Amino acid sequence: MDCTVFSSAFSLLVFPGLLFLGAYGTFAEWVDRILYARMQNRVGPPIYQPVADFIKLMAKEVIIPEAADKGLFRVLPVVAVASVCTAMLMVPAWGPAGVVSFQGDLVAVLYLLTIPTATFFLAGWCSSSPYATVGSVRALTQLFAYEVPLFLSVVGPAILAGSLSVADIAAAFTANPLFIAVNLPGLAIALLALQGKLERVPFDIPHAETEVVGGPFTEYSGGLLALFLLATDMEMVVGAALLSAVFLGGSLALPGALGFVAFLAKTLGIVFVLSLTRALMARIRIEQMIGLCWKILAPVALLQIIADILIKKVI
Amino acid sequence: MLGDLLAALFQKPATVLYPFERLPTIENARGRIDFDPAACVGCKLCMRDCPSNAIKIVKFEGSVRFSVRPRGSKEAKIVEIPVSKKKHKALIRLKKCIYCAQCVENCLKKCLKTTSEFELASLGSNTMPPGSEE
Amino acid sequence: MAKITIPLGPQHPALKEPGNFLLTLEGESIVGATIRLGYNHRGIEKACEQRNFLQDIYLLERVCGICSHSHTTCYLGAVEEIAKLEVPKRGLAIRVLVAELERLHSHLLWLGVAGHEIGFDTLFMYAWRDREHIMDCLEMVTGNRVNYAINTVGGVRRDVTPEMKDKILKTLTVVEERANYYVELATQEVTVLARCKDVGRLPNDEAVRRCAVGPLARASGVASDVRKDDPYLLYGELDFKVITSDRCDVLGRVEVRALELFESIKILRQVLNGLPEGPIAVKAPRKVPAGEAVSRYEAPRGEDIHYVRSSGGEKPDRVKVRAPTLANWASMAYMLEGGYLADVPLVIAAIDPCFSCTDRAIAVRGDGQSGSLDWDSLRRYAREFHRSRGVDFSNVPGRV
Repeated sequence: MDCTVFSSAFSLLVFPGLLFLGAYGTFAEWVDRILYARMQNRVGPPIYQPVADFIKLMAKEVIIPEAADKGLFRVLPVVAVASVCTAMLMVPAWGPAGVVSFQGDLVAVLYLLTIPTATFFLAGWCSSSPYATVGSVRALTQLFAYEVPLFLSVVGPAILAGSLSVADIAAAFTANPLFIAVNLPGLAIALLALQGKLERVPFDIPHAETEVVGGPFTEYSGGLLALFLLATDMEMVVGAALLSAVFLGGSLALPGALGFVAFLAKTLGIVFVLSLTRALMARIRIEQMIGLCWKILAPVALLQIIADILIKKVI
Repeated sequence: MLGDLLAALFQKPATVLYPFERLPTIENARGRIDFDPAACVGCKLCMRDCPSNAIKIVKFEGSVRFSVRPRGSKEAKIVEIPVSKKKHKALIRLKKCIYCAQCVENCLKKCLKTTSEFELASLGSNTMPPGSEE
Repeated sequence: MAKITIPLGPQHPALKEPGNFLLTLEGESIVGATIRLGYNHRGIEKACEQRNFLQDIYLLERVCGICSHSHTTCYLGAVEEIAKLEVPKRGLAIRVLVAELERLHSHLLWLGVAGHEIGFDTLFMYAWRDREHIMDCLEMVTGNRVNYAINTVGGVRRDVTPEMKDKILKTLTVVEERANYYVELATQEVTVLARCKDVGRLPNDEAVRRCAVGPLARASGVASDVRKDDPYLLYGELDFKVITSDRCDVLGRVEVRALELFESIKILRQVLNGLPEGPIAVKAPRKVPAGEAVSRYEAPRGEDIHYVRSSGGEKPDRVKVRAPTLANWASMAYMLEGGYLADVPLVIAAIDPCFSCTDRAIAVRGDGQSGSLDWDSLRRYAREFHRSRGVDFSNVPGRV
């Protein structure tokens, strides 16, 4: 009895819950920033920079506009962090399965990862500032653009594995490495859709600094902003972990610590690809993004699904 | 562009880590103006064309007193040197000087010179480099 | 959909200097735009009247940090015309040298800023890294990276040595190769094309009607360049092309500026290889005889006009600066309406605005009251003023 309470608390708070996600999230942010800087021929920040930023923001005053909805304003960052941490519970980090694993947890993870975007929209909406309103509308419009390719692209591996559980998909891919090669187009689509979900260049339209100042976060300051930024960092880790489990076989059935090393290597590899995309392109406009996602990404994901169905029939 | 980005990962960054590394300044950069009191005759041509009224020629007798703060120390000490005849000294308010060096051009006796010192920021007027006064 | 009005500025990350644009949005489309300027008015023209001609050089330099040499050279063009001074050829050549180096650094700066406005920070960092080579050249020739103060009444203050000439020629080879890279990037990179094509359209007739100048006009097919239309300094003897583009959008402006980099390099090579011998300045009188003159100059941003009037004393009677950006604001409202919010920072950046250069006139009436005139009422006032004095506008093509 005590054991399960202790182990649940450990999973929720330490690994792979709050502390691990916080630490790994800030580490992944540092990796992203230093790669981005080096690609631009600059020096980049020292390793403690994201943590220092978080501490600095926590120490600042929180200013809430008078016309804003105060309760909603305060609670939304916490909801964002909480949903991302909950999503991590179902993604395998140590070992072949997550802390909780059941049929359909793939859908649950994707649903939980949509909640942060909804909080961004509500945060901008309740801020009652013109920039925040435009930014939040953009965030929601962008959601309709990238969600469909993201969901479609993970359906392919689910069909090949015959199951909607992340752990089963990872196991199936580990058993048949050929699946990994066949699903590379799906991985590419998923990476682009993930870049859209994380709102990074070329898809950082909602909080485009030169257009809408801060987008949904314009009126946020202090600890609330720190929590929102932490939620974005954690989202990057969870998204990368999900993609590595679904498309790349997760921890590859290696024992214990070796499996964890494989997990770290794969997630950092995905972060590298995301940084490269960020450095390579300019920001596109919202209608161009919708066109791109619906006219190019979604059809390719559909073709991938058809290919996977045919392969499943053959095998 | 992809090739450039990946190649840049392995190159040395183009940033100069100031203040640990410094780029070499050229010799005739227009920095702080230096004054040699021995040659000054008090014609005040430098004052006439200064765009920001930063330089002032002042006559004095008796002894020269000015504050000296050697680089690296925090305290300024007053140095007093007796002089036998009337002399002029130039007071340049570094806050107002725009470092255009027009006074250098105007000076007939060549007592004003430009130096390459540009690191002149300080926390207060009382810690300005030696030779200046407010 | 409901309309909301967003104020872009005076404090905004897209603007490098304060200025206010009131945008009326319907969703993402802009249905109305109002421009309000004047945040950077510093009273420089009035301050010029209280300083002598030599001090005014340093004051006018600080109208703008990026085109500082343009303002001093234009001003001295007017002063030297009133005083009937003939600047020696070597002085003119050094002025051209610094002018074209300034054009190079200004266009590279603009490329970086435009990249930043569309979220392409890599282009920003690369362009500014390459600009450092030009800044080093400028520091070597003039003693400072900005606010060069190389001009004096009657010529220039510093000479160019053969070592400087070699170093600049070597730098130009490096910069030319990088300029090739940027032209390729501007014309082939997918996301840049997606953001710049058909954005901020200004057709040829509108550009003429709204008196656009500089790369803005040249990108709409109007071949107006003061260096060719009204040659000053040594430009009458140098061989270079006026770059125009028929695209009429932001991509055209990017192309024009990128290709102008090559023309500047060509001019620099001609000047350096054919540097005339002789003195660099003539002795100028302190008192400038009475008279007035208008002088024009092709700054990196367009046509710069200075008017100087002297009544025989040591200080000018009136100095009027018409900076190029002031002429380009009239086209801004046309370009913004009908576009998207996402394009606003890019369209503003594409005219290469220099808010510091743009002064605003204040009307002081005789009864002690004062008011302010904006662009439209000033034009109407000017038209009425001239009509009441019998000026006939019927033979002025297209500019009424």
